[in-house]
Amino acid sequence: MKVGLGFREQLKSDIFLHQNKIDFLEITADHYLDASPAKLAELDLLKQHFSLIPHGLDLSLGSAEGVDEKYLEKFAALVESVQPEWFSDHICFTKSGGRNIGHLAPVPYTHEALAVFKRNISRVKRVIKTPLILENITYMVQFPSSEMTESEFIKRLCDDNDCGLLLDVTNLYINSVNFNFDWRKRLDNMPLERVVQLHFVGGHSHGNWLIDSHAHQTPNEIWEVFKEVCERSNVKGAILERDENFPPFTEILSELETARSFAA
Amino acid sequence: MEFLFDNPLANLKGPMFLALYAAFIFTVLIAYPIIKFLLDKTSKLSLPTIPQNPDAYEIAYLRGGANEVARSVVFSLRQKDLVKIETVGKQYFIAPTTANKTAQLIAPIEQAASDWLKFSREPKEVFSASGLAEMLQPYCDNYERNLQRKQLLADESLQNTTSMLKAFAMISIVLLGLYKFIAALNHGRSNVLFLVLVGIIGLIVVYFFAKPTRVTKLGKSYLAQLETAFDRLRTQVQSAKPAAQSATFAGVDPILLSVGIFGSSILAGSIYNDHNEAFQKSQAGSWSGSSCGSGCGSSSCSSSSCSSGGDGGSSCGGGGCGGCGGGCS
Repeated sequence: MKVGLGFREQLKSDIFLHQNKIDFLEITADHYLDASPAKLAELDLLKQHFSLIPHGLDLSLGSAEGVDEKYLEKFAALVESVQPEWFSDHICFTKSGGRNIGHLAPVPYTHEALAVFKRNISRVKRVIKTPLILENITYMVQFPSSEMTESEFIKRLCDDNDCGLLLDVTNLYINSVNFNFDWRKRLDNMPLERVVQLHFVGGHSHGNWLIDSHAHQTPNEIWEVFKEVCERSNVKGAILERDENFPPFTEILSELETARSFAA
Repeated sequence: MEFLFDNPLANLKGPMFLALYAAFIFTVLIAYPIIKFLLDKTSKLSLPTIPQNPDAYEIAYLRGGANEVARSVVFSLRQKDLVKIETVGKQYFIAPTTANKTAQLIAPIEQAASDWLKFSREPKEVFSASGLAEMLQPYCDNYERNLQRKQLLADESLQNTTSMLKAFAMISIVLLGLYKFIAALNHGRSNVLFLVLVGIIGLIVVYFFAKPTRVTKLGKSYLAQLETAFDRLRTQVQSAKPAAQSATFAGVDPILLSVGIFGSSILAGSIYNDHNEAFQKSQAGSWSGSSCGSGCGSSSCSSSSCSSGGDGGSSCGGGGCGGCGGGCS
């Protein structure tokens, strides 16, 4: 299993000074879609030194109105330029009624939602031939109208569309705490054979809620989920998704080493 | 023989000839970098990747030659507390400390510099004849060879060609002026003051602005790549703590590396501000000396003030002074 890091500009210098300890980088696709010459130079530099995986935020595969064609075109150009093994986006919608919500919003787990995803994913697949993998998100509400559990929905989604799964073990754990379910049992119903990549990082608690802030060290509870998933599936890569409150880089490297040790 | 001084050029009236002469000098100034650009074939080569442990001194040499290496080495010693920057009145000095250097792991180049700095020195001595920069020349020769092998610095053939081209450009300016001068005297005219002035100004401008190739196109791209990869070090430098408390990553000191890549002007406003100021002062006081680099942003960058040979001397050529604003490229 390859272990890498979500590329953030704040970490750039350290990333270059530790190339041999980082197997691959995940780039936020949206940062390079309408990029300035400086960002494009940065992308060229990253391509030259690392294998990259574009991670999208705004394909909005759960939007009933369909995929934004212009966005898709730009995304496809990025994938073409980076030539990754796979690319990813979230199981959510971020656009509605032509407006951008600015948030990864959960969908109700219904057959109708599955149909929406199927239509959108098939459109994406027609334009981008590189394998697409889908990421589970955290949510603050559960829809009473849901017709199946999250794991059943994800399994159907991946099977129906022949997509891999980007299992965010932090999101799984946070949802399990916030909605009081057993993550192990949830894992039992997940399509673990489809897991391609993992995300891990620490969040923080706010009252009774755990928040997926990407701003803290990965806690032991999440390492437990990580380890279990590694044991039960054939994961190709894991990405530490640290976005804020950056610690000394040695701490980040130590997290990557921990991930590597669990994968061994 | 009569035709020699009786032809349209020789008979051209003074102001017309001066305009033509100025246009010729201007054309030389424009043509020189274009020809230099065309002679440098390195842009088609693939860019070297950034190594795991980039050598700050080699990068400093690529960016600015021996003077930049000397500046970086002094900074490293300062950072390791083996030298300190002292002020006496308005004068800066680099003085040895009482710290035990055997207790520290220092590179041979730093050891050599430390030996040279056994006594208190003025920063400008670093760049003077038989100064530190000159003493570090054997190390710089190694960097030169390595960088030429990677085609980041121009090889001797390209350096010679562009130097000869510059000489040819200057000679052609002299010859054209001289021809008109003799033709004017031959026609019994003695009002040649403007002709001489334009000729001298033209020569000075070409001398200072037409620089033989030192850093190749590939070298400039490599420097740009380093600046992109390590631009975050700029902010790291500002929050730097004394050496003992700062982390050394993968055997590379990030602050020393940033000085190598961006020049010591990057230290302005940091806890090492005195280093930057000391060298800036030394340049301000030695315009015709040999120092440049850190003070590029401070308008003290003339071609003559740059070190060993090449593209505007050294620290002002190539990548355009690294992070000091490109003010002297």
